[in-house]
Amino acid sequence: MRRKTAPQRLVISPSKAMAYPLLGFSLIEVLVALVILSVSLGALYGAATRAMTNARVAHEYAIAVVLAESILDQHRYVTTAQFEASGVWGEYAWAVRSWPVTAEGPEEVTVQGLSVLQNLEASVTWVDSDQGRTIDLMTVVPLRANPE
Amino acid sequence: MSNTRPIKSRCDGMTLVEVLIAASILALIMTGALSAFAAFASAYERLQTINERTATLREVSRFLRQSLTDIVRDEGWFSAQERELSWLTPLDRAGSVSGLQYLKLSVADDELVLSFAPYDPELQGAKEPDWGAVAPDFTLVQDLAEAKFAYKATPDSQWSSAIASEDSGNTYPVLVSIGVTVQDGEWPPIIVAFDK
Repeated sequence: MRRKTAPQRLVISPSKAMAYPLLGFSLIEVLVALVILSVSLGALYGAATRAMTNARVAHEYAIAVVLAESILDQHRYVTTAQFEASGVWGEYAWAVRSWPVTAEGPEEVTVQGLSVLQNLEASVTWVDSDQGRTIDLMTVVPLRANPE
Repeated sequence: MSNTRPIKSRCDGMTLVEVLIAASILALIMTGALSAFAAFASAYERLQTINERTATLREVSRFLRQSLTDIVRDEGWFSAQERELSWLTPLDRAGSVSGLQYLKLSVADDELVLSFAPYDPELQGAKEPDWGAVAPDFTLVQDLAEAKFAYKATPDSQWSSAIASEDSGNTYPVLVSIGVTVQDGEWPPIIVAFDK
């Protein structure tokens, strides 16, 4: 508006007077761009954090599975029915127990009054930040006579 | 003429203060953006590391468990020491080797190394298999801090560091435990039962 009252300035430098005020960004535009940038960076950061958490949890599960497999193998010589044991490895608590197999109906598989097969279950529990996690592995083993 | 000068100088460029302010704002933005990208890069690196650790743990434990469970006992090669364990097992396929193989797990410097030797019916536990004749040694675990093998002769006995036997060819333990500690932490013991 001011320029219409002073037309001789346009004659002196028409391109500069017209073009420069239109070039560039206003403060609002820059701020909006910054906000968009920070929001998208924040979303990316959240995704990276979640990826880290997931990788850590996957590592914990891998450890728990290896531990449970080892516990299962370590206790596969079951000599007493309803066997139970438990322990701790690092931050992981494990428990193993056995109970008679009742296959094909409610009856136990028995030989001379003894159940010959035992279900054997190993479970590993641990606390991940604030969440309790657990895995269970199960197998069937023969009930062995005591060495004595 | 005198009233064109201030307008012209205003439109011709920016003052030093404006340039400085713009530069400092830009510097702030760039600092923030760069530190954010650096954080992403380091997070990605840590992600790679932890995924690699997980994969190694899974693969090594699965391989050792499988090959020890499949152990061939009749042909009698089994040697169990504190830092070395060798046995005969059929391999589905591991790199360039397959079929019946002697395997030797040993500790070399800071690595857990697996050696291969082809099955030889003449051997009968009399002498060492020809380690590395067909396939080169394979590094199972890098950055090893410690590896300890332990054995149980009977389910109720204590863990011991070696199977006390002169003819190691015929004595098999009931349980084998492979304890691996890498620089990042300890693995759970890999315990494998030999069914009798």
